[in-house]
Amino acid sequence: MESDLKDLNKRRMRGKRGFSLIEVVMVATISAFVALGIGSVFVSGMKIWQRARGISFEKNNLLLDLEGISRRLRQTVSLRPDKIYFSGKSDEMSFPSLAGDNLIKYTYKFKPEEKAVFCSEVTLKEVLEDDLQEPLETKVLASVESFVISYLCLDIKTMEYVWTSSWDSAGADAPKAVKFEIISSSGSSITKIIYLPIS
Amino acid sequence: MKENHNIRGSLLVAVIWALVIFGILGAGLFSITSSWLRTAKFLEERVESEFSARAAFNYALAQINNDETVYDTLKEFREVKEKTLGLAGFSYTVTDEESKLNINTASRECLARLQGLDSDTAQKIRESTLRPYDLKEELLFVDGVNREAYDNIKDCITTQGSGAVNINTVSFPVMVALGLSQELAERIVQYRAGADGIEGDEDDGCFENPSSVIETLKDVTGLYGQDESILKVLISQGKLVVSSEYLTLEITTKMPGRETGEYFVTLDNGRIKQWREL
Repeated sequence: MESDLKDLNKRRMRGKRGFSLIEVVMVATISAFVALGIGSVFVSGMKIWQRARGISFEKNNLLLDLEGISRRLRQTVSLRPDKIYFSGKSDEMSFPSLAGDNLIKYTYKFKPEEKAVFCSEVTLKEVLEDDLQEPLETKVLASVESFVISYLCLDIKTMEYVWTSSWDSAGADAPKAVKFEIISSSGSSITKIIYLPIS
Repeated sequence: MKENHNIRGSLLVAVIWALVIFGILGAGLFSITSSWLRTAKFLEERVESEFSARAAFNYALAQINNDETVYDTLKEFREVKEKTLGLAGFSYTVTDEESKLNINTASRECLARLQGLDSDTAQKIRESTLRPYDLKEELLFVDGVNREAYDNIKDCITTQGSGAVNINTVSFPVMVALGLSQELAERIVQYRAGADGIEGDEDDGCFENPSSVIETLKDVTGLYGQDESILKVLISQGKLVVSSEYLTLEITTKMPGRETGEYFVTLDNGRIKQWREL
């Protein structure tokens, strides 16, 4: 009877035998790797999120499109006044710039009713021949609520640089810098200042 | 025993499942953010590149002001100058506008001698309402100058400067356009190239001042026929000099491992006359 009980106990123990050391170590290692993986994904995710939080998708697109405008602006050239000159108002700006070998007058105009900024291109030849049929306008910035351009110029009286809302140099010079203040439809605002190398 | 094996094996399956799920989550997160990151990186690089280029311009200006010799040679200009600023860096070479023919001051005869232009076109260039030209690209709007002709001459014309050419740097086609004979132009190039026949290195010959050009040429290569009188006229008119004032910098901006931008900056007395980005 007693030996029977012992036998039974032994059999039960064999069924519920614990894990060996190797098994425990293996499990611990695997879970450590998993935890490490999760941890690193979490940390890098947080970092990326923090970085991306400041720039929404829409804002990013606006910034990219603005970069295209700035590139042309930086490459603006100074020509004789009767050819093409830099001129601008708070919602419109036109300037000469080179696209490859082509000398082009770019005009950027904000249309509040369409909530977009349009660009038109006219070659120097067309300007000189006064051959100005309605130039083709392409949309360069979309979903813009407000678009204000200002121009940095030297105030001769005070000898200080000030922002003005219009620029009509009639060929004298391009402004020192151009500032875009944009509010997008979703409410985010962007300010970008482009310093023109030639002035 | 068989059942026990199955139970313990399920842990591995669970671990693999967890890895797969987190892997998919990670990939999803990456694909969403990577486009944002790319744009952010692109914009960041543009700003960095622009400021590197401006730094290169200022650095080059300082170097040019430090130049002590009264003459400028191809060696000074063609040498690639490099500088590292923290992570970013730049390298640049210089081209001088005095090695080219000024289309605003060149005579009809000079223009007509350029490859691909004839006397009529040269006359049209001289008479165009666009003259004085601010940019050489304006030639494309002159009647008779087609794209092919422009491509032929675009590397040897300029709108900068007084119309004088630097005999130390002036290119072969420009010398011919100025009226020098082909032989003399070749000999000048040979003299400048030195013993090894390559321009822009240590053993280059150079002309140190305009008044000694004729003597040097007589000593080294000899002057024949009309060449001496043509040279004398050019020198007396001040159209042949030995230094250059108007320079174009060809700047390449760099980040570790890659180039981030290329710029052509034309200088006019320490100011930027033209700024081009590629």
